[in-house]
Order: sequence, then structure tokens, then C-alpha cells
Amino acid sequence: MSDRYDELMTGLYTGAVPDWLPGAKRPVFLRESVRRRCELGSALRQNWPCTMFFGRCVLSEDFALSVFQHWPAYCRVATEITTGLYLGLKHAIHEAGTAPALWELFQYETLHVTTGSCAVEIPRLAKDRLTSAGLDGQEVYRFELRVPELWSRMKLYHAALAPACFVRDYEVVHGATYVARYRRNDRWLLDDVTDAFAQ
Amino acid sequence: MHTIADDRLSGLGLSCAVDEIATQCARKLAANPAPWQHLDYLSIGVYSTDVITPEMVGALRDAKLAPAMHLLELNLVRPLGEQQEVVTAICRRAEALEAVCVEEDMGFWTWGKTRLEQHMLPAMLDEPTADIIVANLMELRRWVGVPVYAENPPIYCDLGDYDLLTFMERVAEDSGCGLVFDVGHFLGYCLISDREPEDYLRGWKGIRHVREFHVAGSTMRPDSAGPVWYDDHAAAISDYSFDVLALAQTQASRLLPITLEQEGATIARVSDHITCTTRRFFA
Repeated sequence: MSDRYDELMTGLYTGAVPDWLPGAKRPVFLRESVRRRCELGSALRQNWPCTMFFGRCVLSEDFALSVFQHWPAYCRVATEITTGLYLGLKHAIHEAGTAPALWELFQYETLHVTTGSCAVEIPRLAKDRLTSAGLDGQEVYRFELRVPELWSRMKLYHAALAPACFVRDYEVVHGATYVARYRRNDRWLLDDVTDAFAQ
Repeated sequence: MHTIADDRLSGLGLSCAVDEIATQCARKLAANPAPWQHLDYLSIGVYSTDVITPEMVGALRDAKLAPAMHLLELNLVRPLGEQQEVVTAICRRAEALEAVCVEEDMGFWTWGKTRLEQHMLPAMLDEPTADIIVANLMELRRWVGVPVYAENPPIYCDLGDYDLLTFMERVAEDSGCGLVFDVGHFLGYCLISDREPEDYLRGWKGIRHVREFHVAGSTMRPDSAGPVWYDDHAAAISDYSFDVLALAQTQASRLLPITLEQEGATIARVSDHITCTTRRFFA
């Protein structure tokens, strides 16, 4: 059952003004909607800076709008903002139906995220494979692309506010890539351990 | 309508999270930093899932810090019946903590399962919302058995019919519950509603319902439609905030407790604020 607060919240994050709001309040509502979506945008940028930059360059300048559109629905299942944003961003990426690069970049950056409960969907290696690679007890994920290089390059482009064509022209290298994740104090650190699996 | 039993809080308080209780108590007991010895209570932000331990309660008693419980997720703008699980959990924690009062900003704090935090929605200042909040405050007070106070929330856009102070007075009168007056939230509302704070506050009869003041850091950002005030507890508390607080204390005609909300601020900053608040209001 929905009430006015549901409608207000949905409207604030989708940019749709509720019909029952008096006309004089409309500009105020829309201004607040922009402010709030910028707050969500800041959280997206903090956790998935390269994903958002890549999406903006390759898909649309308004890529973030699609994430904001989906976020309200995920408030029903996510206990905190970050998890809801993860689910909303995942939805937006699937909806765009894009090449694997955006997806793997997204999953790679999610491995860094320290807040919320963002369940990555990149395959995690089973124990027997870790043992044979000499990586017992470690948390290792398998990517299909050389995602550490992709991420590194997108970090450079993002920091430089590089033209979108740089991103579109970047040639992603394909190849099984293994990334280990480990905790250091309150941060997640990632290590490229692909060499451990080289035949 | 209000009884002496409502006034269980007095002096100077500091806001903190549940996991900071032990640290704050230890600081007061050791008078290290020295200003902590002037604290009389803690305003503790509590979620329905927080664990309250006997050690925490013991530490509060030893340090002679009364616990005020500040709720963070209950939607006062929605019927409590729809939030029974949270209400039950909150009541258990209020009892475990031996809270002397329970307070919450009037608003929408949890949407579905998501704790909204800075994305919370303030109460719409209108009749239907006032009715729900009044009913909720009365019911919550019956459940927790200690005074319940409604606080003016941060308001970045005003979508209602009432002005803030009229709304607060209406809620307090009809519920018989006291109010927390948040100076920073009040200043933010004045900015967006184009009101001069001191003029607006002077002569407000609803001040008689206020049981506690909150004062916190904030930042101001320029914007095309006028500057916007942002709640920023870690920031310095402005001299103007303290001046408005002094005016409010004068209007209240008696010395009410003051909570410094300084989560995230450096110890040096908090120490300074405790010292200057003590000197200005409790010397």
C-alpha cells in the first residue's frame, strides 16, 4: 500500500512530481529532486567512479538517471543506500545490454566497496583450484577480460576528464584474469594473481 | 499537560552512537579531555538492531551520564501499527538502556528495508501528518513509559501548509509530549522559507513545550535560488547558532538541557564546544 511519502520519495528520485502537489510547490520539489539525485550521484562516484565514467562515455551522458530511476524499487530489499545503489546500477547496466567491459568493470570496482552488502556475481574460485595454484585460503575471482588494465586506464581518463572518444576507442584485452581480494585495516585491496594460474 | 516527571534531562549532553558509549563514559570518568567532566548526559543514536549490554549501562551509571535515546529509523509520519517489529525492538532497547527519554526527528527515515540516513524525508508540515505524529507520540509514550520528544527535522524543501513553529506547537499541544528544538534544523528551515530566525522565534508560544535543545555544525553552500544550509555535525558550530540558542533559552524562561551534536568532529573541536557551551549557558 502506497502513501504520500512513497510517492514523494519515488518522485524525488525519478524527477516525477506527484499530481497532488500544489503548483506553487513544484519548482521547490524539482530543485530538491536534483539535490537528492546529486547526493546519490556522489555515492555512485565514490564507489564506482570508473564504471560511471565508462557508462557515461559509452552509453549516454544521462546514464546516472537510469540508476536513479531504479533505486526506489530496490529500497524494498536493500537495508542501506550503497546496496540499493549497487542493485540499481546492476539493473541499469543489464537494461543497457552493453558489452562485457562495463559489466566486469562494475564488478571489479564492487570488490573494493566496503559499505553495504553488495554480492558480486563474478565467479569465485573453489578451494581445489586455489590449492593447485598455491593460493590456499584466498578469495579469488575470475574475470574474462584484462580488467585491472581496463580499470587503471579508466582511472586515468576519469581523473583527466578525458574526452568520451578516448573511452570508446580503448581496446579491451580479452583473457582469463584472476583477481585476489584481501582486507587491510578497513579497506579491500585487490591483487592480480593471473600468473599463479598460468600453465 | 506536562509534568515534572518530563524533565528528566538536565545540563549538557553530547550525541554519540551505541558503540561510542564506553569511550565517552571513560573520557568523563578520567576527565580526559578535561571538558568531558562537564557532561551530564549522552544523546545516544539507537537502531532497533543495536546491542545494548549491561556493561554499557554500568558505564553510564558510573560516569553519571543519563542516557537519552535518539531513534534513527522509526517513521513518525506513518502509523506505528505498520512498524510494530521496530517499535517492539526499540522499547526493549529503551528499557535495557534505562533511557530517561526517547526522541526522534519527525520524518520518514526507513523506506522498505532501506535506512535512508541523509536521504530521509522531513514530515510534511500539514494537518494529516500532524494527526499521525500526534497519535504515534502518544502511543510510543505508552509503550516506552518515559517521556517522548518530537524534534524538528532537517528541512531542505517545504512542501506543506503549516509553518514549522505552528506545526511543532500543534503536535506538542495535541500529544501532550515535549519537543526537542534543533537550532541548526531551525536555521535551515528559516533560510528556505525566507524567514528571519530571531524574529520568527521571538514570541513563539510553543517554546513552553520544548524540553531539550540540539545544536550542531553546519555548512552553507551558495545556490542559484539562494544559499542552502546543510546539516554537518562534524563542522564547527557557528557563533550565530549559539546566539539563536541563547535567544531560545531566554524565550523558554528556564535553563533547558543542551545536546551538542558533533559526530565526526575532532576531539579538539568537541572540547572547545563543550567548554564554550558550559561557560555561556551553565556557568
